[in-house]
Amino acid sequence: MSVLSIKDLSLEFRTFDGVYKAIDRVSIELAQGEALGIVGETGCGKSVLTRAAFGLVPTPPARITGGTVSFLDRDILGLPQNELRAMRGRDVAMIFQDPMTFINPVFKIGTQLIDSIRAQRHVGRREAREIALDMLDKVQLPNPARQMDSYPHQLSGGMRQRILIAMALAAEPKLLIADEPTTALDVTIQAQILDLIAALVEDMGISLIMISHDLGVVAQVCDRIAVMYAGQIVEDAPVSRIFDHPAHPYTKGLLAAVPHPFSPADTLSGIAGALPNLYEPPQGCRFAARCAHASAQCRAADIGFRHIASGHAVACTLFEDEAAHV
Amino acid sequence: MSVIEDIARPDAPDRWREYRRMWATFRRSHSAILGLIIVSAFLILAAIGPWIVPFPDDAYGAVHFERKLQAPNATHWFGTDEVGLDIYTRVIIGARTTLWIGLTVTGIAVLIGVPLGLLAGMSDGVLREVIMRVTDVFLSIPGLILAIAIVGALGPGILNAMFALALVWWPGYVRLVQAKVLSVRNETYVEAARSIGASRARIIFLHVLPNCTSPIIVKASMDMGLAILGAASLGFLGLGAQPPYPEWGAMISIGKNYLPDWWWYSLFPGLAIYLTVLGFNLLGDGLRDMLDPKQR
Amino acid sequence: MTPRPDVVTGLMTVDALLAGRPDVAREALWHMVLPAIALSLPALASIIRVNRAEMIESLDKDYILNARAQGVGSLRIVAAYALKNAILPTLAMIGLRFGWMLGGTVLVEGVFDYPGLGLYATNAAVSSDFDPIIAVTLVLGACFMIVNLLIDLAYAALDPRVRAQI
Repeated sequence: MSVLSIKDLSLEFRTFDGVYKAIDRVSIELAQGEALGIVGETGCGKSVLTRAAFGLVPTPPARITGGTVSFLDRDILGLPQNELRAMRGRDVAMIFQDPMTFINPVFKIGTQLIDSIRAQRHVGRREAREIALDMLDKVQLPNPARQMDSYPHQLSGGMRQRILIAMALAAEPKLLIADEPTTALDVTIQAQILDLIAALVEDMGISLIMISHDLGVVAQVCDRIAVMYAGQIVEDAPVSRIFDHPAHPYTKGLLAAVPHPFSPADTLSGIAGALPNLYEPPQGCRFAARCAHASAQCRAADIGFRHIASGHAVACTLFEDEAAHV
Repeated sequence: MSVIEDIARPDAPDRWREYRRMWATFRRSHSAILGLIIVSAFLILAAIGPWIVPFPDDAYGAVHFERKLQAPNATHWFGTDEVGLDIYTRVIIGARTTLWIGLTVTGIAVLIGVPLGLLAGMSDGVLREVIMRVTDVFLSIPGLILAIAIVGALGPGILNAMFALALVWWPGYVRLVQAKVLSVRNETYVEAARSIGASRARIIFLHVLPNCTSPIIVKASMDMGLAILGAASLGFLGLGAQPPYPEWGAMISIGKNYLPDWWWYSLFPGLAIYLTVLGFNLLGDGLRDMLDPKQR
Repeated sequence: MTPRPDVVTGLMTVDALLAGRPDVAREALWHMVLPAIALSLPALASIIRVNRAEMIESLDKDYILNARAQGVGSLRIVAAYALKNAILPTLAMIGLRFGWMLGGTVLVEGVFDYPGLGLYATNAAVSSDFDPIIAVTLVLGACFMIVNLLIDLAYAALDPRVRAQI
């Protein structure tokens, strides 16, 4: 059963400089219990994609120009805000990059947790407090009862992120969207938090979308990876395929840019060139300008997805559709 | 932290694009444009006033009892006062007085406040403490009260009123500039400049001061309005310009004794003060929206 | 014209009530209405303005996005989550405005011929009688300082980060 199905979603921002086409016909399928990673560099539209799907991008300046989003077999695009709100928190929960700014500085941790829980379930204050304590225990926060009465500025970044996770999972949602959850943390804390998310998601049978610019982070938690470039998905494959048989030149470039402990540093390479101008996106493959294998065919028209192995799709002219795997 | 910033990174800063963006922000606000229009009209009237008024001799006092306290009519658009002076003439000429007061008070306040603020922000220890505590003492007494006290000591008069207002106004700039300097001083680029051996003067004038200009311009534009209001208040209380000097506050001060029957006497100078202060405030608001990068 | 009740505190309304003359107290209050409105309107305008701007800014913050993402109701978000953050700069504006209002009393009392400290100071200044001016300046300065102290205390009560610095 599909939890989230995004089909051909397009979105643009109207800004002072013109119309910025942030997302272009992106499709994503997420099955029950699956963990999907969305990977791409800053500005590729990966955060906007999931926020837009659940009505968290302010319109205007943003405008959804096409596509459908169905969540738990329900078309949710264009639902009124109050229905979306009822769904957020209860069925889909989100955690974000910077735990510093995502917790209200002038309210106690306990108050915010209890507010979230009571917004999601019909429980009394006392019961909500029990659930809150239980959740803080689940995210392995030391001394939960004391943390309930502390203010955000009294906690470390890692503790704050644990609290955000507790807030998000308290309602036992069907889907958790983790938007760069570890980027602002130290590497050691990062690993702990990733393990925690992976364990909780597994335990509670929650589907997960993990957004990151870091392939390593995503590989640690996810089953499948979608690689985004300049507002489009260019490759979608199981984690092992991405690492062992990357197909799209951009994916290969990303992998080459990841430092490896056993290979000398001088083999580390970046991808030459810069992101295309999304005010006037180029025709055809958006990566063509930076691609060593680009041909006239790449620049002529849209590149459809080619299915090159079981569950492995890539938008690149270098590959042929292998019908057997579709 | 907004989503838009996240994805729509502006390209390398382009000066002209920046000016166009600023002007577009300014133009979008009707109130900012209204402010600009009012202030421009005020400046033009102040510049050409003496050549366009119908009764130039009435500006600095004359006596025409034969036409005293006339209601607004074709000859005297705003009516006449108790000694027969043309109120229209006096309001227009009053724009000069007002502009002169506003510029002097704000100018002196900037000239005292900004250097002291820079000094307090860049120095540590005793000097900063002395500057900031003196500033606090000035700020701890409501401005107009302090101005009245100073005028009370020096004696009523327009020059003393201006001096009193300037003396009350500068501490605001010290606070503003000092706070800004403290925040800029710890920016990475200033630290970088210091680490490559840039001199203190170079850091102040090249890195710190340019970051303070926008808030100073905005505050100065707002303060023009407030200084004008302050001078008019002192004039109204009989502590500033003395009649028959053409100053709006002083005119209302006399005119209020003739209310409500001879309403035009205080209405028109009052409107002039209101519009001018409104204009400078709207302009200041527009400038702030335009110069404040957070608005992007 | 009703006769003035015996002077006990010097405050007309309080003295009238002490003398058991509610009608006089009502009349004394009635004379305050217009000056009070004239004094409060400018302060009202700028407090509303600051609070509006701060509310807009604080509703744009990440923690509001998070609360929305958790499904917290919009009334709670606006009236508690955003307001408690926005009220702090508003308090600062109230303190500043209080100073202006003290200055404004001078003008308003002048216009309404209301025999208060402001009128007293003005008359003294016009006749260059310096001692009353000094006295009024000090009294009003002390008032201003007390109000600012109260505002600082309110700051600490509302913002745990301020509390932590004490």
